[in-house]
Amino acid sequence: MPESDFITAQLTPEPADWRRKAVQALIACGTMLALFVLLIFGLTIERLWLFVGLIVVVVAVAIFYQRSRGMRGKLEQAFRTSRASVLILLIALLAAYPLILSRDPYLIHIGALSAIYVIMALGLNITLGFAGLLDIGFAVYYGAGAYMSAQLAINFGVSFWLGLLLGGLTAAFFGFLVAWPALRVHDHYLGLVTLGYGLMMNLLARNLAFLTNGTDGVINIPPPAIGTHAFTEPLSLGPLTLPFQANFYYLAVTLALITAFISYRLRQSSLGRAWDAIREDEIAARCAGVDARGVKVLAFSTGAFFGGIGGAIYAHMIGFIGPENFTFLESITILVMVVMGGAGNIAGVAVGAIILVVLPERFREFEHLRLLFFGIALVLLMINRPEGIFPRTRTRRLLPANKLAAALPHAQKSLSPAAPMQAR
Amino acid sequence: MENWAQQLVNAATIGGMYTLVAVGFTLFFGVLGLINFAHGEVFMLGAFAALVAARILLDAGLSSGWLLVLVMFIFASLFCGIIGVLTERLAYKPVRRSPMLVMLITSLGVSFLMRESVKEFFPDGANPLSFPSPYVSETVHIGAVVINYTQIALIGASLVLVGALYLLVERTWFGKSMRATAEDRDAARMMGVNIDRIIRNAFLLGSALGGIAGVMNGLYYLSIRFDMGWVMAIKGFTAAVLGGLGNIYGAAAGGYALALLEVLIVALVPQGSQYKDVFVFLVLILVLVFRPTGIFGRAPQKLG
Repeated sequence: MPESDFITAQLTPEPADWRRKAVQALIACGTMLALFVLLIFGLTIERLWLFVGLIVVVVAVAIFYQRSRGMRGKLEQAFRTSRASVLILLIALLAAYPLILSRDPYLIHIGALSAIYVIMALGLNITLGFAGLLDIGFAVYYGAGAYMSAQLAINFGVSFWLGLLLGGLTAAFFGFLVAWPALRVHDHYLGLVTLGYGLMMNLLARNLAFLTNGTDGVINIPPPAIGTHAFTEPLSLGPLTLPFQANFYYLAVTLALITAFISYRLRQSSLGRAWDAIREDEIAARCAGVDARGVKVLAFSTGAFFGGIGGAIYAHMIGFIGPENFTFLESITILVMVVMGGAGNIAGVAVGAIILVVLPERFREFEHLRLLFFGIALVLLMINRPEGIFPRTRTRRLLPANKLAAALPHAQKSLSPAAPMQAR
Repeated sequence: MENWAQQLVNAATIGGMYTLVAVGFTLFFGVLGLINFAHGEVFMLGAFAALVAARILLDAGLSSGWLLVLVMFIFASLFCGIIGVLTERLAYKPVRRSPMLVMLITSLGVSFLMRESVKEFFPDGANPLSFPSPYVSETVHIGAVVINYTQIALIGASLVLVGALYLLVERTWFGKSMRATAEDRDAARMMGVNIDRIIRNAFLLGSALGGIAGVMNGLYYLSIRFDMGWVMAIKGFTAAVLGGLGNIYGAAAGGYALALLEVLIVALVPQGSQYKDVFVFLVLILVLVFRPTGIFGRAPQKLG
């Protein structure tokens, strides 16, 4: 939307035009529904070549959509004005997913796995997307959360729910650990420090057998339970009985939604603004009084916390955790989820995570070619869309002058009433 | 004492390889500000290219000897040089002006592409392949220290290459303009330096040296694998960081210093060989954090 339109929209709120709003809500919800149907369709197609054809069509449509500005503007407008209905529909569709696929436990499992990676990618998105701190060792937090909650459950009989929290906090501590040295370095050096940290922690997990059981890993991790309902039992909802994977699915999706909500609130908070500021220009931010060290440590720890949460759920879902679960490749995969989706864009990062879980699973027969295609895709993506599929939308809050003046009474005189004030 | 001398000789051999790889990292970082994760794979490609050359020559009836080794070196360096120039042109040039993270991920993509291509398309590429090494069984005894001919050749070759590199960087027009590019790309362009050509030649040079290191690795360990590049990439850039990224002589010194450090850890720390790499990463982190300009403390981003 051109900036001038935005200003007019802010200055003269239109009379409640329910018909226009309804149409927009319909457009937005219709698009969502279509995408969901496409996803289900893509997941359930038997023949691989049909799936490949589907991807080609989707990519073609996406490119066309990208090119046609009018369509893009309309759709973005529709999504922006009907947030509430889109959100309700999203939750409904997520809830319906296992019901639709109740005959296919494997696809429900994939759904749960996607949600776990969404949680972790959103965690890294806080560090990388919000605060702009490159972390190539994110799998450390995943591993920390997974090992912590698994060992607590096995050795001390700690319940999953407490273990989940403690796993997250352990991961946050590991984020805190790397944040202190990382404060002294920037850009490449920060990337290399976190990379070295990730490799070192993986080696330690392999060798410190008394903590991690070494390369054998930790096995027989008990499943979570609510009351007497263990998560390995089928989930019965009235007349419907869903396979046990649905338990994990609902757990992971709920936590993913909570993570997205927290991310959203964090971005709007003063801490989020401080992250924006140090990402865009650290020196200017410091001059403006941002405690750069403090907010950086917070960015690392908060991001790591969600990494640990994801790891803890994963450990209890699969029942096994070993050093090969959080290698360099895992860090890179999570990093690419964020960069591919569009660092800083919560919905984009979530989509990036889902794509990177679903695609490899679909092409399981070509497992051995996975990394080859991953490599080609990375190069092509970086050349063509360096900011990701869904680049972040810059926050552009345009306050009408009279509101600004009311907020700053002493400035009232110096501002002409019609001139909007732009603040980023 | 003899044991120590033996360890030092081994360190010098490995250090030469680290050095040649580290020089590539430092060159790319200097002229392009790129941490080229694919450089380890170029090292691996060098070993595989040499293997192909050796197989062809041995099939053609050449008895193995110095000539064979020489041809392997030349072929690998040419092959890797071309590969380096091609990746620069196809992958890095389009993202040259993009943020650092974009270049980093591009190089990761290139690295996956190279490694997996070898694994998939080289005959029997997923398994370790034996590497011909003609002189490994012939040894020289100095006291109790045993040095085989291959080690002598490798130590010699790496020293000669580092010396040649010194002359190239200090005494030639190319070296001078490369240093100028590293110092200030825009200013160098205004002085009439063809930046594109400098970057291309830096990739040619760095990748060729990486390929040679790959051949050395094969000759020394007698076995190569498609995934051997990754470890070497980490060691190489740790060496480059140790010497100060962008500092060519630092990279040379860093390579030998890192090899020495590894040998010392294995000798002094209980269970040292298990924790060797942990110490390497620790050194990497500590140097980056406390001496980001490298142990010699020269300004980063300046070749020379």
